[in-house]
Amino acid sequence: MAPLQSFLHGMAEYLTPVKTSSSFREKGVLTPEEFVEAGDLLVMRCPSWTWESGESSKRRTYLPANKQYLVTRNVPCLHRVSAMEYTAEHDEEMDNDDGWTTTHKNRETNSMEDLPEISTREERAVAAAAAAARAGMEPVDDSMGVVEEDDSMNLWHGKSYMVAEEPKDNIVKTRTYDVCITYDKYYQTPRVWLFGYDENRHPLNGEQVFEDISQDHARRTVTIESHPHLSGVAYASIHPCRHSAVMKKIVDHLAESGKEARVDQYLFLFLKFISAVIPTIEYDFTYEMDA
Amino acid sequence: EYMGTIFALRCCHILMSLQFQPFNSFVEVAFWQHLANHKLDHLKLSENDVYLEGHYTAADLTHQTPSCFSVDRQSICTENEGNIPVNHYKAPGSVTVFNTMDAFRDFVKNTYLANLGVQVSQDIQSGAALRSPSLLNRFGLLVYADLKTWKFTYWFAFPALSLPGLEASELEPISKTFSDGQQTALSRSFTVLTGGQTRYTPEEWYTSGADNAAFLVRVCHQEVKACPLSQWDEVFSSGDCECYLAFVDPCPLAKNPGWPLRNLLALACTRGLATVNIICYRPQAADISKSCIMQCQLPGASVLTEPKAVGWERTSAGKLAPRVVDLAPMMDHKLLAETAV
Repeated sequence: MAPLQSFLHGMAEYLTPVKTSSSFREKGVLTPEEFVEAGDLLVMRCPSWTWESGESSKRRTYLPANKQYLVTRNVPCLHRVSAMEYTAEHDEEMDNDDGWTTTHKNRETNSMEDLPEISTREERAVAAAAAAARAGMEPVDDSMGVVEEDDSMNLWHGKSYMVAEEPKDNIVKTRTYDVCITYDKYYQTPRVWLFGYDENRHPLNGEQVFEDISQDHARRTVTIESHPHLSGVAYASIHPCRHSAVMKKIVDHLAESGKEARVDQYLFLFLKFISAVIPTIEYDFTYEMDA
Repeated sequence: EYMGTIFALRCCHILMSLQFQPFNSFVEVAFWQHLANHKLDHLKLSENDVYLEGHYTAADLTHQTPSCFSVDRQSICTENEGNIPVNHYKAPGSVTVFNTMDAFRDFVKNTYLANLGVQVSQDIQSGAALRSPSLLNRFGLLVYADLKTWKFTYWFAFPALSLPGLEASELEPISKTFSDGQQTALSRSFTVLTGGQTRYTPEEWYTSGADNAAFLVRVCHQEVKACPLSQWDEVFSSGDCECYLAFVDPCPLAKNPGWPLRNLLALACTRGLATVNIICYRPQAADISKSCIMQCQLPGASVLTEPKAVGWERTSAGKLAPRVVDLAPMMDHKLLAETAV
């Protein structure tokens, strides 16, 4: 329980004790009004998050038209979950019912330098071709009448777009994600949706997205489904059936240590625990007290 | 004589040719869906241009990645009614959707790009670009959408006017010229210029399209002020003040500026400047210390008498060719059923 407690303690430091809403306090669930309230605070504090209205035909009447769901785009995901190592005992932790936050108790993360990187241009080209093949694409190699431009002022390094540049040309493959939070009416909790792009900005398919989800959850709590506010596009979604239980536990722990979570701070707590499921997707949930 | 040499080395910037990091397009999947519906319901067989509004922001300095030039679900809109997120800057453009791959292939692309360049040049010469700096970032998008297989072939053009003879000093950190206090003042002044707020309510988050991606900075008696581009004459004639031409830079590189500077320099040429000080404005929230300054020596205004444009986007492999995105894995319901557990 130590990691959970230390995380709660760390979280508690961000929070100031104010009154809480009853259903939130007792069950860890939210009303739509509370979801909007919590979303407003998230957008205010972390400007990378925005409200979206989605498609009008898919609008939920119990939410304001311009606040149907939250989204943050182009969130970097620098390395794959498989690059994080687990120690042997971790499987034994799987079936306790402390919620998700304890299943990674013995996880050790390698430092950045140890992570496998695609370091040479050739390897990158191979990786890009492989990614293209996976996505079912034929590489296009046809300039279709465009004459090679005589432009000495175009800095073209032959680099793919989302490649982080570091000194000594130490290249890191950089995927990005769009992360959405919708309100799930049944479970009365927020629900997280992910849509990923590879380093060449091609959409990731389901299998590739699973590489960025904690292996404990990839096929148990995360599934590929249609986004509730956008027609036809499949997103990876973290199933919300355990969300309220985990949120209740977090709120209880805060209360034990003398702190009470405010309902509008729900999404900060929520995103903190969601990061156990998608540990490599670096979305913003820092709770700044000011500025 | 010896002292003279030292003085020369100290006071003069060493000028060299300049290279710009091109824009990197990023098309949200929701845009393709929206475009597909728009083609089926409204355009039908028409291959006419449709107005489109893209946007970009400053580079991500934490991860050292360039910002992307995005088109999203809200990009197909009427002029000046687009929804651009706060801290993003709009760019007006158009999309042409072809009915067949052959039409896409046979379309005369060099003429298309040249025409985009002429439009940019006209907006510079008429003064329209001073009032609406976003006109400097005009773009074009050609698309062939295979709606049966959900495969989209597309090619962005980001026209940049060629400026032969342009030279510049090396980029230097802004801290060499601006004190910490002046940087704070510039950051505040720019915030005021772009809307006057550091915090936004959710309603205010989407604006009608910020149009201050290029601006002027005037330093008078240590006092720093960001001014709109439309105050060009006033700023550059204000006596013994230091004047800078500034732009929000989507490029994070230490030695190169981003693509939007190219047409901005073309504009500076037509205003009769021989040299101009540039600020590559790279904010990280309120911190602008990663911004850079350089001096450019401009060719004469005559370069725009016969404007030549470059700027077809390359593929991720560096080839001059269209890009292809295959959405079938995201759209095909049989595949979806297999992936879902």
